[in-house]
Amino acid sequence: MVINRTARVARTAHDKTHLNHLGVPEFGVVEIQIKGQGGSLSKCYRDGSSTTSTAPATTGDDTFHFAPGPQYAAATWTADPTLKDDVQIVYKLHNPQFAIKEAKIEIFPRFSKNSVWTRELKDDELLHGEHTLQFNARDNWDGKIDAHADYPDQFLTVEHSPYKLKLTISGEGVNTSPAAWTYFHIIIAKLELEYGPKTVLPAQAANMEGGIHTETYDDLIAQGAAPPTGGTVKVFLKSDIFKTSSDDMFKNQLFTRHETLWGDGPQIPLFCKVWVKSSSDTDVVAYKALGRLKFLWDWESTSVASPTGFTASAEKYLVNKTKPKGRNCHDKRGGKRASNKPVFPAQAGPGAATPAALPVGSFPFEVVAVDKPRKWAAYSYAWNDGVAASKTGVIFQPARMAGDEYKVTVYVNQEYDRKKKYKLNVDTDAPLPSPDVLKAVTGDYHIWRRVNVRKYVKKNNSVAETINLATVAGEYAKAFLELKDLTAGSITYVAEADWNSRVTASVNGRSAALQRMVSPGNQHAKGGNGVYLRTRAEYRVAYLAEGATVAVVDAFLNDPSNGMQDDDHYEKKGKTLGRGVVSDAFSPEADPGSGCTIFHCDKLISIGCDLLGWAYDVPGGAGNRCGFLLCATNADHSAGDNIENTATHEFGHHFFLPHTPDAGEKKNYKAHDSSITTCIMSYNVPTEFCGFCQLRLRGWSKNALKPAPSANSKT
Amino acid sequence: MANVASSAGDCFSRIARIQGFFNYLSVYNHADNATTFPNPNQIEEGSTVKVPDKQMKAFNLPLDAEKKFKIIRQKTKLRIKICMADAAQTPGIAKARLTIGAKKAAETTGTLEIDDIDPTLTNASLTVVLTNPPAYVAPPPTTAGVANQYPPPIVAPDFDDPKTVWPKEGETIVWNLQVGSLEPHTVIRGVLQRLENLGFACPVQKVEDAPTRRAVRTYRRFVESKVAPNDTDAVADIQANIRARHDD
Repeated sequence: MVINRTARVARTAHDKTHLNHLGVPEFGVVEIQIKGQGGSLSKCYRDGSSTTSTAPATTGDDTFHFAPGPQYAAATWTADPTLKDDVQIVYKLHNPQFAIKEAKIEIFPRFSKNSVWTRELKDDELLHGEHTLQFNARDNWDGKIDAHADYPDQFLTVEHSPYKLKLTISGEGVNTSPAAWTYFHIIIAKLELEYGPKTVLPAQAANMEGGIHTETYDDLIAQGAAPPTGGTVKVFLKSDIFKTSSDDMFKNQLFTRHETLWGDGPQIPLFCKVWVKSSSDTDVVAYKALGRLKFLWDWESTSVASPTGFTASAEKYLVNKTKPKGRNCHDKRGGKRASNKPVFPAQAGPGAATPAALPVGSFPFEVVAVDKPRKWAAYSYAWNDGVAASKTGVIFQPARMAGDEYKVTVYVNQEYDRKKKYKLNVDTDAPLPSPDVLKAVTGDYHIWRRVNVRKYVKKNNSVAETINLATVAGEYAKAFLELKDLTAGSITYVAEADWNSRVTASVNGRSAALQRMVSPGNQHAKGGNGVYLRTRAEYRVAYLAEGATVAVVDAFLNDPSNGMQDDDHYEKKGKTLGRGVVSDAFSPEADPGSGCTIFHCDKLISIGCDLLGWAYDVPGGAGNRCGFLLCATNADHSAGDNIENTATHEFGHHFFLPHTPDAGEKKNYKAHDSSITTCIMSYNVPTEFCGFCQLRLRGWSKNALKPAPSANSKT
Repeated sequence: MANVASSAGDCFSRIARIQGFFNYLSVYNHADNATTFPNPNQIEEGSTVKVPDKQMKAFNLPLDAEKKFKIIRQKTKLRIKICMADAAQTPGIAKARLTIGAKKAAETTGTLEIDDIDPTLTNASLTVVLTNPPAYVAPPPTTAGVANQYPPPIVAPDFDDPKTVWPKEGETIVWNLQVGSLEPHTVIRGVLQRLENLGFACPVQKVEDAPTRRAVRTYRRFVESKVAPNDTDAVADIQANIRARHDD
């Protein structure tokens, strides 16, 4: 390159010695740095061959960061104009002859040839020496840049961090240092999980429970206002679903009804507050500094193996083959492990403009599924303004299967490679390789079903024994089903007049032959048994007392078609009668709310009966109410058996569990673990629910399970 | 006696020669001139120079004899010193050639002098080829990262901004020398001319404005190590300093 210059020079007379100094123009960038609050400073770089008479500063750090844009006050989550993290761009030019013709400061994000911000330096900005770049006649810069498609708020963002700030100069002369640059970051300070308000949950389809998701939400809040950072919280799925007929026990009704009720699972609004690190290393709410930053929501199956052989075997189904791995209920059994049903369902989000307030009935944040390979995860985006600015979130929707356990992690998905492939989008096991500051992890969300026990009714205070509900609940807890005792220890006794009138009404609606079986007088006052009946001998006497002849009476009693030909048949007849009368007497006592009512008398009938309990269907129920009758004392049970086992058994029927084949009505019905005989649903002295029953109680599909334990496992 | 209005390129040597004098002192030593023009080689354009009348000089000479008359013609020089912004520094020079009329000087030391120029010539040229710059050296590496570091380590190759175009050859600078046009440092133009000669990007004019003030501030900052607010920008502030820097 040839530089043409003009010089006006003096001749030197013969007696003079003066010279004409002609200077070679020279210039160079000495340094450029960013100064933050609290003395933080970015590190300056130049080409190694650059030289200037003044050496560049050697102080500064490649981790320099600041928080661009306006901020919210953390306490109120509203804008506070006094909060800002302004920085200064300082540079030094070696321009001793003011020979720099062009100079510009540019900002480049990674993997881009194009700057996102350019500032031409002019006039005094090119003077030799130190400068602080001016912004509207101020030294301070808040990270604002010009309009740019990738920066809709015109602020630099975490999304594209880190950045390179570069000063380039040119002119006529010797350019000894054409450029200097520095790097800086916009970084996340921390993520904080919180529960969003339940009002953002999508409107629910009408179902028999209504509002079930908000009830689950309230239960969660009761366990802690914020999501757990460790330990376990229970997600209770209210599941007051009961058989409405005996046939229901021989279908996959437990699965289908639970599916109808809970669909793809409970909905939990998980929000995440996003904090940015200021240049002075404080955590601030710089809500314009996030951009379209992606947050990756990931889940893990953290449920542990059950102690029961059958359940443990079934839980092992493809335990290490699915992504994510784990023992949560597999898709083939109705769960979400390996399912296409998302744990973080897609959400449309707010659209182009964020509303002033959180929407009601629709989720505020945009959520989209992660593409291959981590398809089970989801991305969400944060608001850049308004009430949820600097927040993002998902609806966490675990499967409805009790016993499943989930750990949720939200990651800042900032790092991508040159091909814009996000580095966290891999199918490796969690946790993903991410700095702790870029993630927030919950404790374990443990899914439980919940059935309410609304009321405990005894015929009268003659019924001496009381079911230990905690013992019963303990059995169901093995299947992660909570029997929630709403009785608060209270026992309701049926009023004498009510009992007697109901018995009378029930009896009077029956044949004269049956009416004759009922002992006359005050049934309520007679004691704790359900219905007091005449013995067969007393029946004969009473019949004769009505004026019938001996021949007629005996012929009647001995006629097998009347079912009274001997004491055994008479007792069976009484048992049937007792069921009808006692249920008529108890049923009006059933709690109107969804859930179970326990009815308790000493024996069903006074003349001897082997019936221990009866899971009868409450009249008028719509499948959300049930009542079972306990009609035996501990003494009526075999050794090792007790009224709690009977209560558990009868509850089990209401929860769609049939008898075991050896005791049952349909011996070929495959709904029990074939390797044991002591399931609570058997007539043997029970130990606990068999694994098959436990998994059904957890919500698994009966149709996908086989009685042989080993048949349910697959590697 | 005649009054001559000086024009661009004039100095006492040139005026004297044009007026038929071989020693500028014949003109300069006029009392008015000496006091008006402290430096006979630097005349403000448009100044009035007193040119004395030529004196008749009578000699008694014998006829038919050969006599030699010796006219003493004093030489006029053109002296150039090539420097960097720091006038004490000489750039690396591969070639340098000063040409005025038919006379040339070539040097690589930075000082070029032709000691007998035609004082009436007003144009010369100086071509300087600077030595090649040092070879390009890449910038130092960024700070090494560690696993799971946050903020993430800076990876310089991740940035695709234009790379430095590092020159491989030295610059060639061609000066068009307007000989005799340097005006005294006591006038605005004289100061600005010196700034320009010293490599400044500076207009040469009779009035001060923003660009002249910027050049003066630059001079004060670099040469005099003044910092704001002491980097005042009036031409008068640097007159003495720049004369010494440029002329001495």
